[in-house]
Amino acid sequence: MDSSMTAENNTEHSACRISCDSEFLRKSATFSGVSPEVIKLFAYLSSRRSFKAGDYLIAQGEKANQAFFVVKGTVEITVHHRNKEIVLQELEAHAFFGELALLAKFQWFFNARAKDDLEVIVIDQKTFQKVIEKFPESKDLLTERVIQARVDRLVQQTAFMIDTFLDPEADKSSAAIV
Amino acid sequence: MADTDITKRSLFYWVYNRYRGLQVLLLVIIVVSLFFRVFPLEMQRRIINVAINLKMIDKLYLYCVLYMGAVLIAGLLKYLTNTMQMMIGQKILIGMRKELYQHILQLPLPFFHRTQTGTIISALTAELTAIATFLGGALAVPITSILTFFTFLGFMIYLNPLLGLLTMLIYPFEMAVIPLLQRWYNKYNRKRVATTRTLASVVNESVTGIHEVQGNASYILEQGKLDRLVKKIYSLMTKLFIFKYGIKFSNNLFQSIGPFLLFLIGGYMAIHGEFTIGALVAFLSAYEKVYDPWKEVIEYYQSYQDARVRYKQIMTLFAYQPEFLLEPLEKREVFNLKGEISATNLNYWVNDSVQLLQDISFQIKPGNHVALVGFSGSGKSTLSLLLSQLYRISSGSLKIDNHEISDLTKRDLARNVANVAQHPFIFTGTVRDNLLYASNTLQKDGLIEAIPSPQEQMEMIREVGLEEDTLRWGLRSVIPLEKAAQMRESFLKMREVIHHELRNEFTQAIEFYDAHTFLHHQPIATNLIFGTYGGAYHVDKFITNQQFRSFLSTTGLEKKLLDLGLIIARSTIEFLGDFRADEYFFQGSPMSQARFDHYEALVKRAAKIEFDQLKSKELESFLQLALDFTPGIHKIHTLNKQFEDDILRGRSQFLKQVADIDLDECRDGAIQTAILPISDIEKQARTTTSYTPFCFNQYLFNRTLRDNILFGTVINQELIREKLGTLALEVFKKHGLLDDIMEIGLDFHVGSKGDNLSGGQKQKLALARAFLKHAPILIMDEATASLDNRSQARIQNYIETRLRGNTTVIAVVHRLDMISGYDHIIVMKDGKIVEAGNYQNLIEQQGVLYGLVNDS
Repeated sequence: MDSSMTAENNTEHSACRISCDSEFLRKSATFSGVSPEVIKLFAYLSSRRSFKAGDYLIAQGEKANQAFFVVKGTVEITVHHRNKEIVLQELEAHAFFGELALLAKFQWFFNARAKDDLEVIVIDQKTFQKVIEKFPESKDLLTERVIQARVDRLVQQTAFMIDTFLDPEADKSSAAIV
Repeated sequence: MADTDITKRSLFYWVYNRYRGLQVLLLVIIVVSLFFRVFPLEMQRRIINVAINLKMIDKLYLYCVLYMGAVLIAGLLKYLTNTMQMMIGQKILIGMRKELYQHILQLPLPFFHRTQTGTIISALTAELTAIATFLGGALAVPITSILTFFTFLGFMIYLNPLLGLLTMLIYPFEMAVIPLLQRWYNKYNRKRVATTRTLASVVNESVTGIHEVQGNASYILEQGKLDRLVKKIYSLMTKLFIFKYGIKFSNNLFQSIGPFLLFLIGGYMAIHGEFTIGALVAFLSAYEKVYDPWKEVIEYYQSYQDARVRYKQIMTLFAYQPEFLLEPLEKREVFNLKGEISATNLNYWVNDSVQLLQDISFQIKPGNHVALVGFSGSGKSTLSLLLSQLYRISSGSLKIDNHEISDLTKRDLARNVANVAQHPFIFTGTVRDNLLYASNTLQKDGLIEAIPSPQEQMEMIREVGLEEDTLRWGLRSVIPLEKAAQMRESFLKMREVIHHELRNEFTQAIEFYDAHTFLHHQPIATNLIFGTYGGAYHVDKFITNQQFRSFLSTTGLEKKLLDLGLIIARSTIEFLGDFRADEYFFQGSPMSQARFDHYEALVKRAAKIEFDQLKSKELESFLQLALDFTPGIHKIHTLNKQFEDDILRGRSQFLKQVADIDLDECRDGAIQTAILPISDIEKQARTTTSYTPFCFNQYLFNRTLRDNILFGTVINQELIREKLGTLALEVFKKHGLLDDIMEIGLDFHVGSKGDNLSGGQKQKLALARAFLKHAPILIMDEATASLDNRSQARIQNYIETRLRGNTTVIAVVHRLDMISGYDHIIVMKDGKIVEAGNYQNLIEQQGVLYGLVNDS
């Protein structure tokens, strides 16, 4: 993973807010090519949250209504299966997850847990819908991006699971390369 | 009370049978007032014929005084009769509404499946109210009008028989034309009532289904439904008014024929000396007066027709019979049943065609626990509903303790059967109201002596697993003053525990009230005074407080805040200009959507003239924005460190100068406010100006218990929920405060239809409500289906241990891992019983149940 990007200027964050968050969102794959106006509105309506290691951002079975951008730190995506919690993936700065919550109503089918000190930008379902309502021309592009993010995640997780299946000793970093 | 079936009664039933005394009194007053209405006419004649003609000044004075006196009395009596009429109408309405509501509540369930809620609501509210207006004068008005009419007519004939009779000639014509127009009017009015009702239903439906509507953004679709009806109502109203004013027009026309005849013939006779001028004037007045009662009769006729139409439509709507009696026909005590249930060859059809249950027979001993299992659609839920009298069997027999269920009254059932539905209904009110819903009814009906004691309530809350929830509700409450004063020592201790043990853990979730830190999640006003001021936060309290304002201006903060307010106003207007129509986008600014236009105009003005030339009211608007600004929430602006430090300096000065508190002592908790007697605290809290600083040893009486314990603002609720709950449970238990807090939690308001509760909480509350009834029979229709495994097991355990042997339990069970604890299992398929017996035997038989269990 590209670690040069993770050194986000958090200390200066309190001094800029909308512009910093816009800048951050603009750099993400999800928003590349989306009009600055739309990104700025998302930045204005989103909120920053901090978590400590072990805190859950997403709990399996609860109502899904928020998507997250990792600003700093690492998130573990896990699932409960046969009374065990299994780590499927680790996400680092600039990762976008929970994206499906922006489009559909469902209950989370996985957990997201902070692995270390974590900072995220949160966008909720209603915000997404309100912004799209105001900028209908962005709808197709954004929807496509959300689905793309989902597909990427699926590919990565499947690869990770196959790797674990073929070689149970393999560490997680080998999966992340795929 | 219910002498005849309410829906079969005529409109006049209510008039004849209610408040007769008052109505007779009204009639008497009206008859008396008649005299005072004719009397002035006679005075008119005498003033002209006697006083003026004979130039008798003293007579003139006398007649004028008598004239005025009579007019005044007549006016006052009219005032009195109008008021009485309204009062009688409203009194009758009360009874009507009450009885009709009782009737509706007891109607069979299929009625409610067919009928829209909106229809019932509008029938019971607006439509009944319109009828009441008519009812008040239903008897008095026509009688009075007819009497008045003939009195004036008599007076006219007394003055001049020929003219009197002539003017009467026009009335027969009118009597033919008006009813004809009225019939048309009625026809359209009926349609209007029906359409308005549909309109109410449509609105009700879209409001009830607002989730679906907003989720699909189907505003246009819903609007379309309404538009059609609105158009229809418009066209009906147009027709209605055409006829209404047609009636008015024909009235006026006929009316003006009178004076025409009068002047023609009366004038001729006066010229020939056969008629005095005085008599002519009096005659003219009388003629005008005759018109009043005539008009009243017409209006009465119209409103009678209107009321009749409405009334009939309401009563047809509800013209069904309750399926079961509330009270027995012959007086007897409500049964105390043992709980033996038996069915023999029971059948149940819907709409006489679909057979849902077929040839069901079983026998359940008192105290036995029976599980009904089977495929969905097998009729197990239907069977449970038949047992609680919600539906009625079609043939065969279904008995409790040898009484046919259809012979039992609703009261018998209410006493002996407790019910839990799959999606139970929670009423608007407190948790306790809902918990005691069944018990309260039984107690009101005298079927139990007392409602369960607080201890019993608490025990039940624990049994169903609502202990932590109730505690959490308690934490979310602002504790009543008196209680808080008694317990605050412990609350403060708990605050200490949190700050010592959990401060680090909670840093991401809570912004603690730290005397030396700027609070990003509190408005600037609160940051300055570092405390609460007069109940809930509202910026107006600060703006209007002279002490606070002079503090701002002497420290120079006011100028800084005004600048901040202007910057925030400018950037909000610039940023949200395109989105001003949607309140949602205002979440990141202290400006409310409603004030956008106001600020837009202000900012324009501020750009033209010097800032200090603005009026003080205008400046206050900017000050308000700045004081309301909460940096942690309002993203529209970012404060710099310098400004935060200014505010902190201001805080220190405010506490020292205005409140006489040293900030360091405040933080360390060295300031130990003397424990005031409760009366003093009350006095202090009731005065709107009470100020409580965020000092560590200070209990904040107007904040929730949670705010007090955490002593900070919650930023991320999910993060603390679990830990705070467990900790609170532990500490409160140790200090013996748990029951007190839970008592407070029970008074938590569940919101409209229980919206503040989760699905699981609602279900548990409904279970507790049914268990508290301690009825000999308990019917549960997948009552634990929406609960998690642990809660389900807990409830199952309660049933198996506490209800074993003393309560007949019939449970429709979906999850088969729960059924081994039941004494008897009935397996159903396609409306028939396919297997029955105890769990062990059925499994060993390897029949249908065996198959079901192994499939799942």
